[in-house]
This record gives sequence, structure tokens and C-alpha cells, in this order.
Amino acid sequence: MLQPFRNISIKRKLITIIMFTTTLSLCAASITFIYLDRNSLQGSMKQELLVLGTVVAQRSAIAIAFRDKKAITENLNSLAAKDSIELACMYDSGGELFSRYLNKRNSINNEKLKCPEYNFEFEKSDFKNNFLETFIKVQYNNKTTGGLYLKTNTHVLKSHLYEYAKLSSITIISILALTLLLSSYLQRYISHPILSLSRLALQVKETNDFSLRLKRNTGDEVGILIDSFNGMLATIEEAKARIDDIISGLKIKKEKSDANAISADQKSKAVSEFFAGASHDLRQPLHAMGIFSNALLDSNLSSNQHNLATKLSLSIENMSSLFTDLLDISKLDAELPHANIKPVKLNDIIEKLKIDFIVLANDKGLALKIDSSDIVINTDNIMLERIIRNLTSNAIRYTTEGRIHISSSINENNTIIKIQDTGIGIAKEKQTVIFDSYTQVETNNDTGLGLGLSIVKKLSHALKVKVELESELGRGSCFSIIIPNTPVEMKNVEHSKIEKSIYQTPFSRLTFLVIDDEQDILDAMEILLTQWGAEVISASSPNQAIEKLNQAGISPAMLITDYHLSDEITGFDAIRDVHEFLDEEIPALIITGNTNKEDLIIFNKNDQTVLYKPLKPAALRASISQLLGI
Amino acid sequence: MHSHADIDEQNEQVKALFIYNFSNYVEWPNSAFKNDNSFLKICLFGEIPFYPFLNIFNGTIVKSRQLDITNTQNLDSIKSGCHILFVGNDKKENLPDLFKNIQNSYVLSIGNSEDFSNNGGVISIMRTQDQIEFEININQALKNKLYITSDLLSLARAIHQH
Repeated sequence: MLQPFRNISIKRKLITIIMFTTTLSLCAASITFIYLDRNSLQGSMKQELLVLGTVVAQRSAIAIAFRDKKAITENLNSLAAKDSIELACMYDSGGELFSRYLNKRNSINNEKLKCPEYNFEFEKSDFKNNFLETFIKVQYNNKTTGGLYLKTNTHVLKSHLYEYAKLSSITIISILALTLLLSSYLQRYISHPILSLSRLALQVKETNDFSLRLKRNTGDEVGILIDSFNGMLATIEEAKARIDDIISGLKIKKEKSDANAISADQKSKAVSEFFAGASHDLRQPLHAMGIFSNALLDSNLSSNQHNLATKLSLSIENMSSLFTDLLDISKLDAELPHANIKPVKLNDIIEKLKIDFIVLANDKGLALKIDSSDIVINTDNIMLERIIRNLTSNAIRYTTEGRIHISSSINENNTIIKIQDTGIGIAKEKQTVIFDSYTQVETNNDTGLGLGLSIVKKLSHALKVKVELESELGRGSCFSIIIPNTPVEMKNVEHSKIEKSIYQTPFSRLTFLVIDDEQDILDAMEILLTQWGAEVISASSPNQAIEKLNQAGISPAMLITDYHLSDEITGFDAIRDVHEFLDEEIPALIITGNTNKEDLIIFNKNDQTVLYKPLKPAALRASISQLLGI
Repeated sequence: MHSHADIDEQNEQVKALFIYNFSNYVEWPNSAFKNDNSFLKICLFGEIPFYPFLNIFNGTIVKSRQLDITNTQNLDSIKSGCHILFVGNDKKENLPDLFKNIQNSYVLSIGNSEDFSNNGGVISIMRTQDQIEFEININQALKNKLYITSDLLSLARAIHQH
């Protein structure tokens, strides 16, 4: 019932409350006054009738004793002066009705106006059925000679009540009107501060302006509320200012860090490009150096010269391996590796590593222990070998004394290859970052770009194997390659051949056509191939090559060509020209120092055998043997 | 319908009531009585037909005095004075003599004829057309040292003031 009241405005609420209570009290007062007035009016009416009746009764006392009807009638008729008296009855001392007066001016149903039975044990005066009935004893000298009964209408009472009610209503209405006027005006002292407070709250909410304040002009609870609200706004404003400061600080920091990230990215790119460029530029001379140093070793040298030549050759080897790493990173960044999964005897890979690393380890005075294994797994043997090789190479690099231990084991789910060393170890906080490119564990005495582990990470990802690291600073590290077990078909196991160590002249009586636009390379290649017993036709361009072939009148067993020839001619052009001229698709090998991604993609697409500079003689020989099937 | 005899009897009853009422509404001074215990004497002189009716009130108390109602033919017995003296028709021929012979102070004399109040009596009770009425000679009442209330006077048909 109060629900609609709850939702109206404060102003209306106040007015409603005031009007309601005022109306209620005015009505209550009026009703009380009307009631009291009615009572007093009734009392005075009774009194009046009693006096009038008593006068008449006294005047009639002797007359009734003498039964003087005329006198009594006269007496009763004198009551006509009182208009409201409807009926008067006179009884004698025996209680018999003696005389009756009827007001003829009032046209009330005469039936109702009958004199009642005499019953005057005591005088009384009562309101009954809208009439006042008065009983009076007629006495003379305390001697009762008869009785008088008066019946009076209450029109006066009614009209008086009506007048009073009318007056009350007019008074109430005018007071209410005045109250409404006054309360409408005065309620603002209560409602205005509250309304302005609520308006301010709304404004704050809409504009988000916390600097707004409300002026306090009352000392009551609303004033306190306004003070509290202002205080709250001040607190919020302060807090907001602080938050804004923090946010702007954060924004600046973010911008900085974004800029840093961009510059780091750019740096990374720059470094990548630098290495790619460097590897390309350095590859050519290094390639030549390798060929020359090998040729030098094979020639007749004194033991002192031989020793120096060997050291030179080793240095070139080291350098070459660094470039190979760089190239691998470029290759892996191009997402080229595609794992060629097949059953592989783990021992084959391990044996190969043994040959490569035993000398390196002995050189540093380290013991290299490689446990042989008869485990066969499904994997890409080249990639896996690369992983193990890199880890082993790192182990030797970062170990100054003690030993390197390569072991393998198999459990229910996985094959695990462990490479343990007694090296400098890797600090806990570094263990997660070492797999990123160009991160290197700090050492004093060795070189390396830290690419090895990055390659491991990428290859292991391609192979879907896990590489885990346990290490303690100063005590050594242990890398575990965890290869999930898959069923192996034994009949497909490829017996990868251990590279044949030394064949004096593996390619005797074979003719090779070599095309390279750089004379140094051509010379070096010619010396190397000649040492292997081959005949060499060298040319600086495809045209010169065809010319020379034409002159010699022979068909070479194989074409070895540089990729980037002069005048934007590529190795593919050379191969095509030679094939056209010979009308025969002799095996061809491209050698390139270029590691840019587009070219790598092209080589891959054409299924072309490519060797990268700096070229290792052993690799060249292996590729030639493979291509020629010898 | 009332018979003639009935009406006569009724008239006699009214007369008796009148006499009784007069005892009530006429004031006698205390000197009219020997002491507080003295009776209020009502003497009926002569032939009185309503005597039986009035005698019913004999011994009753009026104004704290007992009524003593007597009916006599003997003038001597009324000479010493009554408070109310009703003179019957048979005794009214020689009224002046009668009043000369009796002690008149404090005596409310009542007669049954029209001229009774004109010949030394105080009140005359008489019959008009339809009712019994009375006349009061107020001078005579005052002469007899009686006080008659105005209410009673207002009921009287005529008031003589000579």
C-alpha cells in the first residue's frame, strides 16, 4: 500500500505527510469539538425543557388539584411559545391523562405523538428516537398533584450540528489550503539540500568530474551528509588523480618497453642479416683456404711445415664449423627442416661421432667415453646426429678437465641419450635462455656464437624429441635427449656407412667439369680433384665450359658449379646449358656461399644436391661418391 | 350517559375535593393554631351532602397537621372558630348574623351559593353550565387574616375586592 508513496519525490512526500497529519488532526479535533458541542447542546436543551416544564407544572399544580381543565389547557398552550415542543401531556394525581397539547404548526405524523403511560417515579429527561422526552412531577408544597410529559423535536440540535459541521469543513479546507501553501514553500528547506545532493551525485556520475562540490547551507543531518559527500568526492578525486598518475606512468613504461621490443627485434634482425652477410662474404675465402690447406698437407712437406699446416687446417675446420652453424640457423629460420623419419641404429650415429670428437677431446686432455648401443629408433638420423654433435661439441668446449660421457638407455616410453660433462655448468637462471640464439654461457677462453643450442632446440622441435638439462654451476651439465618410442621395422634399418677414411685416388680416370667465376676457387678445386685422381675441366662461365668441352671432345662424369656466376647466371643455368650441349643429364653439384632463404627454397624445390661454402673436402668427396654411386 | 343522580353525586364529590384542596392551597399563619400539634379544623355546618366524601380525608395530614373534619348543626360548636367553615344551604339565610356570632379570624368560610362571598363569606362554590367553579372575596380573606396563593386566585372565576 505504501509502495506508490515510496516512489514519489521527497518534496511530495513531505507535503503528503504534512497534509495527511494535518487533515487527521483537524478532523480529530473537529469531531471532538462537535461531540462536545452536541453533548453540551443536549445538556442545555434538557435543562431548558426541564425549567420550562417545571414552571408550567408549578403553575398547574393547583389547577390540576381543582381539575380545572381550562386553566390546564391554557397553561399547556403557553408551551406553544417553544416551537420545538411537539407534545405536552398533563396527568392528574391518579396518573390519568388529564389534558394534552399538540403543536399544530409542526406537521409531524400525529400517530407518533401519543401520550405515554404515566410513570413518574422520578423525573427524567432522555433523548429517544430524535426526540427529547421530559417527565416532570407536578407538585405544590412537596405534594404531587400530577405529572407533565413533554416531547420535543431535535431539529435545533440537528441544524446546529449541520451548521457546526459546515463551519468545521470550511475551516478545515481553508487551513489545509494554507498548510499546503506553507508546506509547499517551507518543504524546500528540507528537500532542496537533498535534491541538490542527488543532482550533484547524478552529475558526478554522468560527467565523471570528481572536482564538483556542494555548498553546505544547513546545519542539520543533511548538512552533515553534504559534508560527508564532499569529503567522499575529495577522496575519490585524490584516488583518481593517483590512479591517473599510475596509469600515465604505466603508459610511458609500456611505450618504452614497446620501443625496446621493436629495437630488440630490429637488433635481432640486424644481427641475423649481419651473420648471413658475414657468412657469405667470409665463405668464399675460407672455402679456398680449406682447399689450399688440404692440398698443402698432401704435398711433400718437412715435419715442421707439416705440423704448422695441420694446425692451420684445424683452425680452418673450426672456423668452417662456425659458419656451418650460422648457415644452419638461417636454414632452420626458413623452416626448411623436414624430418625424414626412418629406423636408425643409434650405434651408427654414435660411432660416427666417436671418430669426429675423439681427437678434439684428446687435444684438450679430456676423456671421451661413448657407450655403444644396440638400440634402434625411428628418427631422422641426420638431424639427431646434429643434435648429439652440437651437444657433444658444447660439452667439450665448456669442459676444461674431467670427461665427457655419452650414454643411451631405453625405458617403457622413451629412449634417452645422455651427454654428460664435468664442465663449468650452467646457472639455474640461465638454464632457460641458453636455448635461444646468440646466448652463450660466459667463458674466458673460448669462442662461439651460442648458436649450437639454438639449433638443438629447433631440430628437437622438428623431430618432436625433448631435450632436458640438469646442471650445477661449477660441477657440470647433463643434457638428456628424450625420444618417444615408436615401433620399428627392422628390415628397413639403413646401414649408414661409416665414411671410408682414406682412399688415395677415389675418382681416378673420371673427368669433372668445374664452373666458378672466381679463379682462386677454380684453382683450389682443380688441385683437390686432381689429388683424388680425377681429370678437371675448369671454366669461369657456362659458355667457356661448353667451348672447352667442344675443344676437348669428351663427356665429363659430373658437373660441379658455383651457384652465383657472373652476369646473373646461376648454377641452374650452367647445368641446363651443359645438359643441352651434352644431350645427357650428367650428375650435377651446386656449391654456394649464399644462405639466403629464397635460394634455399629453390634448391629444395628442385631436389638439387647443394654443398655450402666453406666446403669440406670430405663432404665434397662424399657428395661426389653419392652422386656417382661409387 | 350519566344519570341525573350520578351527576349530582359527582358534583358533591367535586365539592368535597374543593374543600380538601382549599385546605392545601390556603395559608394559615401559625397564630391560627394553639401549638404545632393543633389540628386543622374543617367544620361543616348544616345539612352537607358531600360530608361522606370529605370525611374520607379526616385524620390525614395536610401541611404537617392532621385534618379534623366535623359536621354539626350546632352553632356553638363552631363559635370558637374553625379553619375552614362550610356553611350548608340550610344555614345561609341569616349569614350576617352568623358571621357576627362567630369568631371570624383565620376562618376560611365557604358557601354553596353565588352570593355567599358577597355576604361576609370568603369563597363561594357554585355550579356553572358544565363545571363547578368558585369565587373568592379577597378582601374578606384578608380581613380574616388568610393568605390565598395567586395560583388559587388564578383559578377563581371572580375575585371580589370590596
